[in-house]
Amino acid sequence: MSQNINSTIEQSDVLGKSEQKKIAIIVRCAPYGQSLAQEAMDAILAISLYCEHISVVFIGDGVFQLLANQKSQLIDNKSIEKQLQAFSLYDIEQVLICQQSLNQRNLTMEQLSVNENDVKVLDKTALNATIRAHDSLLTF
Amino acid sequence: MNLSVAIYAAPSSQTAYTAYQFVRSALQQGHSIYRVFFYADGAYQGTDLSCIPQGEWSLQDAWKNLSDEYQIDLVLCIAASLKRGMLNSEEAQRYDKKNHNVADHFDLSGLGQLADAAIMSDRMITFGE
Repeated sequence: MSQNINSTIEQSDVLGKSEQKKIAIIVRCAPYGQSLAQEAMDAILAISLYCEHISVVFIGDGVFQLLANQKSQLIDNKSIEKQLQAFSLYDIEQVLICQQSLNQRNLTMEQLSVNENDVKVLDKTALNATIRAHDSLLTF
Repeated sequence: MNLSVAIYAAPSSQTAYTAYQFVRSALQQGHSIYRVFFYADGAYQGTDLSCIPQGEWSLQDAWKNLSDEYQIDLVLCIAASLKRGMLNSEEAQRYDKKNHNVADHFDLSGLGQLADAAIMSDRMITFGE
């Protein structure tokens, strides 16, 4: 079985980044409180190395990850906010945010660390349609 | 259909069991499983040191049997595993640890395997915490 894995890795190396598939990574978890948010960041950055077309979608409590002025050092955690800023370096094609999730949490764009021009805030219907245009979904 | 499954749930969680049932049902219905990727707390499913009391059902044994029967690829994320004290002999040597505890049938590999699964499969199904 380990042989299978090695051959897949080699194959990925030969093929380089996949250009055909569109992957959406849906982030639903809050930034701190469990390690999943950090592990989601690690996965997003890793997957961006293998796939050309990546969208990251923040819905539900996932929108809390976008808050500005996170002081994660006070709880001895790595800052999710800083890692989000690296998205532009990693070729993340689009960042989508659920409007209803922001509304439900009484959040406005001004409170977020992301630049309004770099993200799309969509209502549920538009978001569903956009997500449906992807080949594969990964949820955190 | 060619499916892959990502599991973040610890073996103590019902979600981990549901993931197993999903994979078993999919295989029984003739679908193929490209990869099962254990991430975050899901990595604990690969420990060789859990001792399940008699009369209780072992999720790990169930995965092993499924892997024997259908030759499915059971991959533990190496970063998630190392963080949680899940090492194979190679990693134990690399990090100068006396012991290693990854069970047979489970391989340690990188997040690239998750990306590869998302790219190569028709559907990716996530079983969260």
